[in-house]
Amino acid sequence: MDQDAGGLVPDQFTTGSDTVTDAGRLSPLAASLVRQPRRTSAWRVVVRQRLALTGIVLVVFFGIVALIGPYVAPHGKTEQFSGARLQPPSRTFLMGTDEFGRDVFSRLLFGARISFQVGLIVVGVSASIGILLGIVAGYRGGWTDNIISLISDIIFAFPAVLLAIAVITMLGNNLTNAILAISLVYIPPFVRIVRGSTLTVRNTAYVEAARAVGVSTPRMLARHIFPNITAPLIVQASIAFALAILSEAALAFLGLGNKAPEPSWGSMVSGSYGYLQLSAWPAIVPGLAIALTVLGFNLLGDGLRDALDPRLRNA
Amino acid sequence: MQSLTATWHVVEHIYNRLTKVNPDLSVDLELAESVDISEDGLTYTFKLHPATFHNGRALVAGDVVFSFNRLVAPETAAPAAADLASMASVEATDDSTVVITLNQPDASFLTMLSNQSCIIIPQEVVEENGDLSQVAVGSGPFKFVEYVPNTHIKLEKNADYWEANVPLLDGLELLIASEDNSRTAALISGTVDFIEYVPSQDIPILEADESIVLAGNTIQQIRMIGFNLDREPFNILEVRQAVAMAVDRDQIIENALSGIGTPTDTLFAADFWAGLGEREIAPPDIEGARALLAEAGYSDGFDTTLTGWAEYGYLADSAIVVQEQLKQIGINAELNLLDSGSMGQVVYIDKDFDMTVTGDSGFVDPNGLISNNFRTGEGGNFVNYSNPEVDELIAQGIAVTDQAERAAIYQQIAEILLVDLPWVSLYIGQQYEAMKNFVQGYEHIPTGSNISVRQVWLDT
Repeated sequence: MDQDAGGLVPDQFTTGSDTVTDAGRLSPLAASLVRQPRRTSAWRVVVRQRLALTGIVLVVFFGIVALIGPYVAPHGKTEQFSGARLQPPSRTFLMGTDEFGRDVFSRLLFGARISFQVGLIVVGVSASIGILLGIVAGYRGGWTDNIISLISDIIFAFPAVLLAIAVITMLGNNLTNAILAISLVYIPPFVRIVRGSTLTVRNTAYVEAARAVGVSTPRMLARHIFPNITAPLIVQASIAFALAILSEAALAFLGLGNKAPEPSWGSMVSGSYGYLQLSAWPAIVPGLAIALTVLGFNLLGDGLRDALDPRLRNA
Repeated sequence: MQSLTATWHVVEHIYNRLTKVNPDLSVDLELAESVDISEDGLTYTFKLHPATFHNGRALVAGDVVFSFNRLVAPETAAPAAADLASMASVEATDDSTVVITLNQPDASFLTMLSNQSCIIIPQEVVEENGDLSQVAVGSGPFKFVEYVPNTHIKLEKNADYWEANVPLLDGLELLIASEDNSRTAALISGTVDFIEYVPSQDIPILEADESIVLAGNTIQQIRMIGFNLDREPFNILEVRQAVAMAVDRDQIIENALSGIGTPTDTLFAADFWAGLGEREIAPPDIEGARALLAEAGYSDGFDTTLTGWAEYGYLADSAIVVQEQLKQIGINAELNLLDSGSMGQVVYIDKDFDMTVTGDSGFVDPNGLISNNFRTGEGGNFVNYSNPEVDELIAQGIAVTDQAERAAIYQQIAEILLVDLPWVSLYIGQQYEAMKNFVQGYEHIPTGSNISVRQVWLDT
């Protein structure tokens, strides 16, 4: 992909447009609401930005690690090697060993799966609930809106990790409950975004028209409103994914959620940081993995926002 | 400072006991000026030092009577009531004389009186407040000032303290830091002058620091895997033997204690008078362990749980190593690491566990460890062990006073336990305190007690 072309000569990209994603599908909001003299594919806008591209590369890389990691790990995830404690990287132990003589590289590969699982489930759960509540609140308005917004604001008012700790304490300390707790924490942002977008779309001419011909409410929400509010949702989903991974790591660091000796990235840092002065590898490696994955999703989110926001389209 | 042991040490600073334990583990008098033991070993007559409580009232023999009667009274429901199990009666013959009569001779009685539970408390303060959970008025070298939960405890010097020339410090501020790294960091950065429970991985780092001095060594403690003998499959001897064969103590000490500890398969350290002495510990035998499991009908192994302490890093890590080692013989134990409060409830009160990695420490007399953990129905007998022969030997062990005779009895008990395997002993740890080099006069006591803090001064 030619990065230096920048946004100045969009024509250069037209040749490849058919092979990439169709602009209308990725960006219905932009496509339907804004008429622009020269449309640029959102995908290409993302790719054109160097940072966003970095984000994609990181996300795809760690995604692949999570997918195939457990199958290619050279050692067991909890296997302890006698006499091989806190070793620096070597051919046997690519990223060294931790305080139990466990292979940091293998644990990192297994841990990637936990992080991505958390991210996927949290985004899945909080987005579905958030979308449902947000779209109903935005479309119905009145007391429905008031109640949904109030509850969502109350949840939103708590610091995320604190709320998650409270929920885990009530439900019991395990990974499933940690995922539930993090999901709960990230529902309100989805509600807000969906509600806001729904409010904008609700009064457009085509919704009026649909209402005039007697389209039922569920059908209205599903077929006419929802497809037109997906742009900000995609952005929010990628940011929530990053935050979910970060929250899981933070909770695991505090000893919540993931159970020892399972290797979640957060618990790897938590277990090994006491040995930083003896060997930094077992704490720094998972720490870097968390940082890079979260960075990846954030960059992707930023890129998507720039690409999907019509005002920034041709900037 | 660990939150659990913090309570103990505050008690030591604020209150007095009749006896105390010296750094060489000999028992000495504290509040008692003298003790006279009758020929038959049943009557102990204590003369008290003239001491004053922090509220200004003189401590009299009646307070000792009140304190001990309160400890053993059923309505107090004190878990440590067993400390005074051999006491038949206690009375004050005058203001400074206490006479305690035993129901049987007890060679460990003076040692038991040094336990934290046997502190002398003022009757009127207890009656005013219902109990001593919110107030602390003792006769000790330091007075209670304030307690901020999970943060710190402040104590100030008791200027009227009865012992000569102590305490030397104007006050103590005990910070609660259950997180291993934060204690080391606080000492290095100078936030505190003294820490206890030095994490073993930090010992080399602190040793290298010229401004820091370490005190410590082997401690009176034992760490073990305890089985719930009322539960399948740990009620089967072969299963317990298989676990004993599978554990690799050297690896546990290496990984959980950074190599600082002594492996053992019995109760006491090799040089302790009541122990079995130097022992050859058999190396792990995975094949043999598998064969034993097969004999017990578990040739494919089984799933179970392993409960442990989350807040004591070395115990949590020990459990993690044990869990992994047991996988080799097909025992898949789900690890439950609990906070100290839950651990006490789940393992020691509800006994709702299959296997646990835990420990016992602080005992001076062998009876303290053995009777509490192995006597039928005893509060500390969390493994539900019951062997009439052992019960009988425990009674004999305190009935005789000659140390050689007692040693023979405790060695016999230790041998029986090696056959019955109610628990698998793992190691005896070492415990260190670390302090800035201007902290002078501190002496490590192998029970984990911190009473020598009262002789500490700062050479700045």
